[in-house]
Amino acid sequence: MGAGDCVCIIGTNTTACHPVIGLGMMQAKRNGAQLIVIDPREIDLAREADVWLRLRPGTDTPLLSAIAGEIYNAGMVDVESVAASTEGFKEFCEGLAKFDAESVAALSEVAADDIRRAARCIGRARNTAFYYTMGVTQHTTGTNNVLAVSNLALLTGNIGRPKTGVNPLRGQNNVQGSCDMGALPNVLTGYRSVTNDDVRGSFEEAWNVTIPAEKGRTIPEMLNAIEEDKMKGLFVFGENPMRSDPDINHVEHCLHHVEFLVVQDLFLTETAELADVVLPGASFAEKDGTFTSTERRVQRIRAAVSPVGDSKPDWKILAELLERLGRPERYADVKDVFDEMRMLTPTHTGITYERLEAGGIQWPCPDESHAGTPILHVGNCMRGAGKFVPLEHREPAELPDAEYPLTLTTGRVVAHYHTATMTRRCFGLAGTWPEELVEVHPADAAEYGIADGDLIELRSRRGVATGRAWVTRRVPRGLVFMTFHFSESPANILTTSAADPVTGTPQLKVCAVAIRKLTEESTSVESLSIEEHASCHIA
Amino acid sequence: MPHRLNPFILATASKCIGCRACELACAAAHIEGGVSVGSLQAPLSPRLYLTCVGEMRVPVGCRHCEDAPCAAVCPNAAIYRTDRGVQVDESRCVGCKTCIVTCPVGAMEMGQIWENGKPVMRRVANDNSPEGSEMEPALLASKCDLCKDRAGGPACVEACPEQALALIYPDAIKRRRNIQAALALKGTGARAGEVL
Repeated sequence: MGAGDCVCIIGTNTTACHPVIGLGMMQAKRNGAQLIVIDPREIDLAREADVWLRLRPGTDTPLLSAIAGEIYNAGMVDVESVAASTEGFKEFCEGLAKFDAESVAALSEVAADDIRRAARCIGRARNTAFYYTMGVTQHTTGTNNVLAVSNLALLTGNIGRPKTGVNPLRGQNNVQGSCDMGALPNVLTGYRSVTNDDVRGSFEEAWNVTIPAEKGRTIPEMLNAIEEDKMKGLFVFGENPMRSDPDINHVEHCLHHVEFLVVQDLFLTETAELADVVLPGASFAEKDGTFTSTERRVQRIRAAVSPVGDSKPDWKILAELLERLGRPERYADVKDVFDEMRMLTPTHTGITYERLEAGGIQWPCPDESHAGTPILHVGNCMRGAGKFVPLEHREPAELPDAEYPLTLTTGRVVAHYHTATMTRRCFGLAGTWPEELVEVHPADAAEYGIADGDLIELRSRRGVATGRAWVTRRVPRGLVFMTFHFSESPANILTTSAADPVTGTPQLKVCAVAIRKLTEESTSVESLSIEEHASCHIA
Repeated sequence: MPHRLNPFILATASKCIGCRACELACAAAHIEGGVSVGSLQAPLSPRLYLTCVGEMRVPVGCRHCEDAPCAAVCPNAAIYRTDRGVQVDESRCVGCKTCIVTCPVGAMEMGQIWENGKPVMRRVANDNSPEGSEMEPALLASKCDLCKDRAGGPACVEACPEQALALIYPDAIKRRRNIQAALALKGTGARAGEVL
């Protein structure tokens, strides 16, 4: 991207969490593209931004709607063509009236002039690409926030062309692939609903089993079901909910309560320590198969080293379990698994291991002569007419009050990955960011008598965590920031499990906390001693 | 030209952006497997320290003082001057920390030394243990050694993206300044016979 284009990022600390794409954004900026950053924290990209909107956490929907309203009112919308290719346009535009710049400025703490500047940037740009991640979705209004981005892209015609689009950046190398494969409670492969009889029928025929016709449980629903004794067993793969899920004390209670817990992971995580059975999984470098990147590109991966010790690739563990459950061995190798999947998944049917030898292929790819689909919604939205959804503002589930006067938001740093089960075992990465640094604004620090580097205690309605304070203007007054990387400073002890009503995604980006300085003689943060550092020699 | 004065690494504060690339490069240069942050075989322990004071940021490290106070106070002769700066012989360090106290710029640190993927251990007295002593990772005097064994010279200088760091040879600078000043004087006294 370059002159005349615009990159608009919302709730994504891209240079820290997706550093390669973050560098691409810096490059675009250097090439002359405009950069709009919508984030409550002064993340690195905010310093590069042409317009930085420092919104109050949880006001994404009104802010994006106000930008849409300004663009519409300034006559920068091609009303005829948008009306012709979409539905709900008129209702949407009428709904924008309540999001005027002045009232949204008061609500979101962003100056009305800045909202107008962002609107002018997007309205005048030839192309605008919208990028978002967890800062948009991890709210009780997560679905609405995504719809607000989508509304803005539809309104400005920024879909179905290069350098445009609504682009969620996936946080892991294969989270796109696992969602594509139906690792969600409500869909089978290719995002086809389990309530659809035809879809279920095709799987039932292939597998010779009956599949439940109702959707499964989201993670918070699973935990609740365990508490209510409706769920007896839990199989956790490559996930560490004892650190990554909100309200860890509640998670721990549920994992103790469940009758049978299986954890499959590379290392003995906090979650694995609670398990009845631990199955040693294999790392990315030890297995064959495919990963699907954030741009839907299915890519072949090959084992570089043999699995260490007794560990096995996931598909082998599952195939052996299937065998013991009375389903005889059906898969000789990873290709068998892939071929079964592609024959049952119309979006992937045209992708074969042979074709992947020549490079990755982006789904949808319905047949073997199809080149793949780099851009979705070309010419027309895939569902037909693009759908505008009028939205309302809803405040976050837990706002600061007299007892818990500050807002806590959570995220990551560039050196570490999620609960750091891998990155803290790597000397270089651990040394780059050895411990939690809780970002505290200088004015708040002064109010609570906290100096840079002091140990502080954070309390919420759910628990207590300690960490070292970093007194910095990266956060605005009233906001503190923590990562969820460090076991000895677990941010998710504090966070709330209040979730988006549609997706079940928890509101990890907002909860109310109180902080205080810890005196020297009280507990210090015990640095986690990790015995087994992974050896990562470069041959 | 033989250098009469020790070279040292100097940082220009106005150029430093505080990225810590120098610290990373320094640590990696002194660790086995130092190809990337993922391949290092020991914990990071840099020998220069990015220091932030207000809006200013700059890395601080050893000046390789001519009258090196760290060497002067070391009770075990573990610190000494060479023609390539002030150096530490870790095998002679007893961890008395006098060098830390005496260093005027805070360049000295007690660091862990790792060999073959394990920390170097030392025996310390402990009456509670059956043997009367126990082993613990040794903390030994550690400071800038000007990357004396590194072919490309100091790693921090090479890594700085803003060219804020330089290996300074003070006598070479003095000589260069003398020459510049001499050239600048060429025009003075042009009026013949004038006594200044």
